[in-house]
Amino acid sequence: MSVARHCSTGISRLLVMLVLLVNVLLVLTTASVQAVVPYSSYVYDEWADDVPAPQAYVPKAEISGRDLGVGDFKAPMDICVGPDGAIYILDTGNNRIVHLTSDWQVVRVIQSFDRGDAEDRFRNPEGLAISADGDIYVADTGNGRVLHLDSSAVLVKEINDPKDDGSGVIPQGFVFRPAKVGVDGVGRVFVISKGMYEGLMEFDSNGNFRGFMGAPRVTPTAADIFWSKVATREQRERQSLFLPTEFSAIDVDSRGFIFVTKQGTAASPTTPHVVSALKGQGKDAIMKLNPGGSDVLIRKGFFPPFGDVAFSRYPGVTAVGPSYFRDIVSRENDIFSVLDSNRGRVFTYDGNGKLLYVFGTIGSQTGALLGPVALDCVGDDIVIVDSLKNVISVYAPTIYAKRIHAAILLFEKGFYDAAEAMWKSVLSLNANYELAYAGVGSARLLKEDYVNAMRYFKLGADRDGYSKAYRKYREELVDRYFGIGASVIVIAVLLIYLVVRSGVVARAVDRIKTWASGSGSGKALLRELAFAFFVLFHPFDGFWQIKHEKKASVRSACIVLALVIATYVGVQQYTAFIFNPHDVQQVNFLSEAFTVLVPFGLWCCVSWAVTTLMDGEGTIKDIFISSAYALTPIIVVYIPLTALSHVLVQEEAAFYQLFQVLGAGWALVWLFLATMIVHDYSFGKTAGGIAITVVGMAFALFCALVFYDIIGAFTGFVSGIYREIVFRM
Amino acid sequence: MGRRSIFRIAIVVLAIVGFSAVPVSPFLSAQAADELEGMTLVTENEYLELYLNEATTEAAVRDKASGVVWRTNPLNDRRDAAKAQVAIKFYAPGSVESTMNSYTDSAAIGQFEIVPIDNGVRVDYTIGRLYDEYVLLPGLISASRVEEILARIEDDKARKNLESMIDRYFHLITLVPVENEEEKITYSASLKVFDGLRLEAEGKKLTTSQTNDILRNLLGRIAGGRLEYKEIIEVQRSDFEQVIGGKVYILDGKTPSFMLKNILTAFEEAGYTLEDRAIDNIENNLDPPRQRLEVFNVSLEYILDGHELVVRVPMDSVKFPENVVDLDGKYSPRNTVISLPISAIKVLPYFGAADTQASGYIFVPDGSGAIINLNSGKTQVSSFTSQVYGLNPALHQRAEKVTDTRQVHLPVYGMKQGDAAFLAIITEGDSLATIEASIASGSGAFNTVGANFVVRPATTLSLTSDWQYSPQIGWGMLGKMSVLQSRMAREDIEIRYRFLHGEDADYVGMAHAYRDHLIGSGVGSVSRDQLDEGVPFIVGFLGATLKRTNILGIPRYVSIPLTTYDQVATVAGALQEAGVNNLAIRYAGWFNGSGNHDYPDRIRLIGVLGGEEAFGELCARSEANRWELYPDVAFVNVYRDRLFDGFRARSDSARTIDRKVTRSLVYDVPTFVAVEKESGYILSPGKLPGLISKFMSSFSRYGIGGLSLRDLGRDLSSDYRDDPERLIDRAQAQEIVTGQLARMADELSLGLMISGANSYALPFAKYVVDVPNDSSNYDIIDESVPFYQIALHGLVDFAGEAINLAPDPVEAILKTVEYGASLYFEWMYADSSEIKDTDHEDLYSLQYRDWFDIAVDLYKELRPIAEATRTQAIVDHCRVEEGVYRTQYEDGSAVIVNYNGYPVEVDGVTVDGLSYRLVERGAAQ
Repeated sequence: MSVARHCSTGISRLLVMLVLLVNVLLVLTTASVQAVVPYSSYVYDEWADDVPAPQAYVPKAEISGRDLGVGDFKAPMDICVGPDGAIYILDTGNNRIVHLTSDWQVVRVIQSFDRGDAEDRFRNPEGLAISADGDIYVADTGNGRVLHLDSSAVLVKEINDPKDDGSGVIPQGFVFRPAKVGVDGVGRVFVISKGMYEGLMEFDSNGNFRGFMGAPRVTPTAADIFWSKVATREQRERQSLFLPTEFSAIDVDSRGFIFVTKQGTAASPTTPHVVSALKGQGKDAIMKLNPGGSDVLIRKGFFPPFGDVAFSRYPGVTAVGPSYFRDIVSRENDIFSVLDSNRGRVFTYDGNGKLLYVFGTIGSQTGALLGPVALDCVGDDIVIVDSLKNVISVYAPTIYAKRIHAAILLFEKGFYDAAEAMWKSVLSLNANYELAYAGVGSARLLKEDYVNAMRYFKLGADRDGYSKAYRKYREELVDRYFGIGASVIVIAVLLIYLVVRSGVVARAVDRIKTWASGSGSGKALLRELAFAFFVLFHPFDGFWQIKHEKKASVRSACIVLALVIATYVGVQQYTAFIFNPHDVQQVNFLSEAFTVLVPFGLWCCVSWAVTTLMDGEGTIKDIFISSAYALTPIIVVYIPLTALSHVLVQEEAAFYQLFQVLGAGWALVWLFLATMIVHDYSFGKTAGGIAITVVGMAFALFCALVFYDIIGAFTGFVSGIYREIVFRM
Repeated sequence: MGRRSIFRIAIVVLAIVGFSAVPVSPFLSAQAADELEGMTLVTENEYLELYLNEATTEAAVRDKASGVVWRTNPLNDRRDAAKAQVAIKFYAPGSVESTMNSYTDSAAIGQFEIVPIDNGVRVDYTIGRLYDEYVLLPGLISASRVEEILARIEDDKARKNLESMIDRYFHLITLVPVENEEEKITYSASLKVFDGLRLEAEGKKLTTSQTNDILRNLLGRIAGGRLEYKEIIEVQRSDFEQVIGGKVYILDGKTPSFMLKNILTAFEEAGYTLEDRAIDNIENNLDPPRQRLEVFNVSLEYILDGHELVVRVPMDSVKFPENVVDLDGKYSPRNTVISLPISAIKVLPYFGAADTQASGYIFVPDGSGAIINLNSGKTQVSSFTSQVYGLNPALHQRAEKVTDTRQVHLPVYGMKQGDAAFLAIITEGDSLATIEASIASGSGAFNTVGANFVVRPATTLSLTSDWQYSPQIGWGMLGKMSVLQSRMAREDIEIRYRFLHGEDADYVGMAHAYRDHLIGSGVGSVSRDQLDEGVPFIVGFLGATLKRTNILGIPRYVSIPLTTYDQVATVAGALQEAGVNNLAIRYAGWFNGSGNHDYPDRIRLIGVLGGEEAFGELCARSEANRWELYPDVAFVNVYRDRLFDGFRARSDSARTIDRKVTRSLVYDVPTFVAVEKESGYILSPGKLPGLISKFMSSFSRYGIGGLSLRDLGRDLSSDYRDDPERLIDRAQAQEIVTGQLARMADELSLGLMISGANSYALPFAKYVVDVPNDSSNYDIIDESVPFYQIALHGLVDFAGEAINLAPDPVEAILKTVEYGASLYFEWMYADSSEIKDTDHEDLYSLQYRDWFDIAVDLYKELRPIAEATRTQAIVDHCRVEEGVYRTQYEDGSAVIVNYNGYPVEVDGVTVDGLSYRLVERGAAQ
């Protein structure tokens, strides 16, 4: 919970970075002696898969109270670094604060403080903050007060239980149990009190209660409400792994932004390997509040910063459920690190909320944590308070982390060449690092090297960047080839006009028609397929003829359906990078065919069942054929659209989406018409029939799921019995 | 430094404060007289004397050179467990695991035999009381028999004693039939059998409750002594007819157990024997006394062999109750046939145990080696337990992996106390061993290190396949049972102890002792010629990897070329040109599709890498330029099971104890959980010879003189087939692997580059790579030490993990220098971004251009040092100050490595930050 770290700005720092850059490989400023690293590092790609990464921070030391010569710590709870680099450790169990220099030499141990008339002591204090002028703020939890001490441990003021001024802001029966505390540059004090869900408590520099800040909005979704009604007791208990949100940590940066974290998130994924369903959930696990109390955190990463995207939800493994944030620290260039006590990890994000690196784990090895509760930065090192091991774990950055920070700094300061070189040197350490590719891309973009920018943005999975580069590239192409392009188009249009006028086309069409109207099953099939185009523009006649004149067959309908599936797969596979929300590598024909065929088949069956009851005239064959033909618009719209996506940029997304909707809408309307005509229904009856069909489909799906579950349980039961028999005999 | 010295001061202070009342014992050597009290000399040789206490079976060895005595058990420990030489663990039906030890259950009750053998002695333990402790004590004995026995006694005192015991703790009772309703006593329901009877006790007036007590006691004794009765209500009147009218003594049911002992003694002294007891049993309708079920046999041999004390447990001496009838129904329904198999044997767990005043450390072979300071005060952390040669995959299919740990590659452990030390080398049964070390804490006032041999591992099997909820334990797997390996391992257990003193009594000395042992077992013989060649530079290449691609949604795995056959030659040529004159090339991903190759029963070169022709050319160029080529292959891990590829998971993979296919599990890093669909398989060791033959018949046509073994020297799995004859336990697996290694190295004269070699693979290695640079650094560990490196240096060229893949490359370079290791890089030729989204995305820093110049510069820089030191043993290694290490070689030259960011001065030599210096011979003196 530190405060106001002075940004040792500008030139000197930059020089260091540049030196680093010149001698990129072997210049290091500090050493890490113990690089036994018990954890593996990773970042998440946009598909929520973990991608291996080099170590960013490695264990350097575990410092116990005994090592410092002040006796063992007892469940220490917080650590804070003052403006002069001094380190303060809040040794909760011993009710003391250990004050150290930046190189871990003991200055003094604050056991008690002077309150003018008498000595006073702490009782289980849990939170600590140091103001920009070196004053000490202690959340004296056991005594229910926040203490403001000056740097020589003399009491300046005491914030006690805030009294409700009658406005009803403070709930009835509230007990003030401050757990975490933060202070900004003008002396405003922010307090997290246990059991207080209304938000941060804000006090002015005189200790008067000013109100709540950053109040969490708990808005259950419709799905949440539905499931909470439906779920069994066990399921609800499993759900309760996802804790109610309560603020857990606070850090005020030098510019007065207040970083806060919450314990747990609202996310409740359904599989251990979470899918994109998680996107957008648990969004405000970390907030960056401006002095006015609004959340200004930028969340441009693949996922909002909420720690682990993939986690296990089954009990029986070491850590279950989402990350459980215990502390946060703001760092230079809007970078911040958060501590997840659930899996003992530190997540570091950049100013855009993109995940930079992850390190740490739980366990009983040096460098693994048992009870991590607080973190801060001491110089380049990250220190973590372990309240079970009773040590301070120190982690030193590797050259990899240093380069990442240097690259970000260089880019921020406008040294794009240097930034690009630095990002490339990051890539030499980690060929998987999408952020670095995107970083090189950004630099390339600024250098107006659009082709390479696009290449790097693509490697970096950065659609925004790619779109920007592509737009420029397109402009360049248009500029360069406008003359030729325009003449080619004009000539082409002229040629086409002339050809059409000369009647060559009409004659050719006639000839094909004559040829196709002959006998032979191949030709008949061709006619049937061609009829799909007729249906596209003449639905009433088309569907009527399908039913009554057998203009289409099951065979041709199957082909149309196959084409629809192919289109569906093709769209996922070949849509341009900018517009493609799918992992092109993972597209699987079988599963995609399944996702088309199952609803389609279900539609046909249920529709048949429903319309039979509703005096529909169509047979299941009619329904199948006409429904398949009704999907033709998807083929004719989506194939050109997929091609078109390669020319468009993100700004033109609306155009793209419009056609997407048009294609789908077209097919839906035709499906409606097909039902109406095949069964000879009125408009209203069709609408009713379709509504019932949709409900029926949902019901059928539900039954299938239940059946699946039962089968699963049954096979489990049988195999259990089998095992028992085999091993007991 | 500061931290440690503070520890020491704290310990000393603690010791003074806490133990001022206890007389401070003098140092080990002076203590010899105490140490050997009660012991007799069994045998001796030039170096050692072996002593044995014939009453307690404790043994001791005196090292003649130093006079130091090493005892198998600590002096002054009152706990029974600490007095034992052997502790066993056994399973009873119902998954009950129990322990017994050779003191409580054998030596203390005299159930052992001492047999002299050549150069030593054998102690045959029968562990577990043969009969119940009070089996002699008659619960019922007729008055006439008591008379008879008393009359038999010659010694007056003994007779009086027995008389008084019987008088005080026995009731002389008789049951009298009554007709008179009023005299009849009302009994509780279960005592209906006494209807119409009245109890009379001689010389006593009984109250109702006393009467009931005695009657229950009577029924209990009859029911308890008759097999067919389960409860006392089943007792018939015919069973106690002798009491009706007759006079019988009955032992008071409430006699305290300490008194029972006295009564027993009185009977024993009166000459009451098992035969007497049998007579009394027959008289009183009781079955004869039964031998207890839990009786085990274990023999322990102590042999002096030169400098070494050899401790052996011959497996044919290990016996357990097999297919015995559980007459009492102690573990199962009465009269069922059960076995009580021994699952683990601890051998000398307290050997050399150090008390709370000792200073020194325990050495454990975790990774490169680690030391645990004695009495470090870390009482809150868990003790050290680690399986030799890593976890057995067929036994430990762990559902999750939370942290990365190092493997135990060498079957050794030791302890330094003051200026004496011992090193234990497990020479047989090593693959079954788990090394356990703990420091003195509240529960045990000694620091100990020893080995536990799991001779018959078990696994817990869950019978229901799903998670269930129970109100008692919450969510969890229900219905568990233990399944054991179908028979015991057959390999004997042998530990060789070596004793060190003075300057040698530290981890360097231990490493030297082990080095001697290695030389004795042939390590270094392969690579001795190698050492005459130039300083090696080991470079690994990754040929191809697999990437998933799509054509209209149809997934396909294609080989992506990362370093083609040509490119290997190109880079090697460039290295040679730059001055690298002894190049060892490890080439992974050169065949069967990818670095994670298909089953290697035949070799298909990869088209995108250049195919047959280009590969032939690479071989030719290697030959011509004297590059050593080591194509890399994994034999133990099968990365995938493809149709028609010669490998079928069901028949060819190892089986776990619960008969599942053994997977080589891949773990998801964020969730820690094993991902089965990405996991491969572990080949049954029984299939190894066949596979290697097939591979070799294909491989030999290229005429390559080297082979790199990715996992054969490192991963050791059993195959727990159900059939005890098809079962391959870990010791057998080790034998198979050693045989195959010998075949490749000796018969086929292949130079072997072995990754992460375990001790048994070392004799066959020309190079060892991926040697751990450090230990797992468990909380209990105080420091990592380069034991492995010191033992190997000068015998075999070795390297740590590839420098460019280390967490901190700079540190990896410094470690290379500190340990005298070879330079080792792992590279690829293609653009680094090619590796993205492939099978090998964990190798994220392979681009050779990023490292080429650094590698060459380093090679040139380190060559003089390596030339000077490479063939020598490391004679000393120490931490000079925080972050500064000094490695000294035989000829007096030393290397000082500074891991700090600032310059330091050592022995008058300034070493820059993050740098090193070679101090030539004599310069430091």
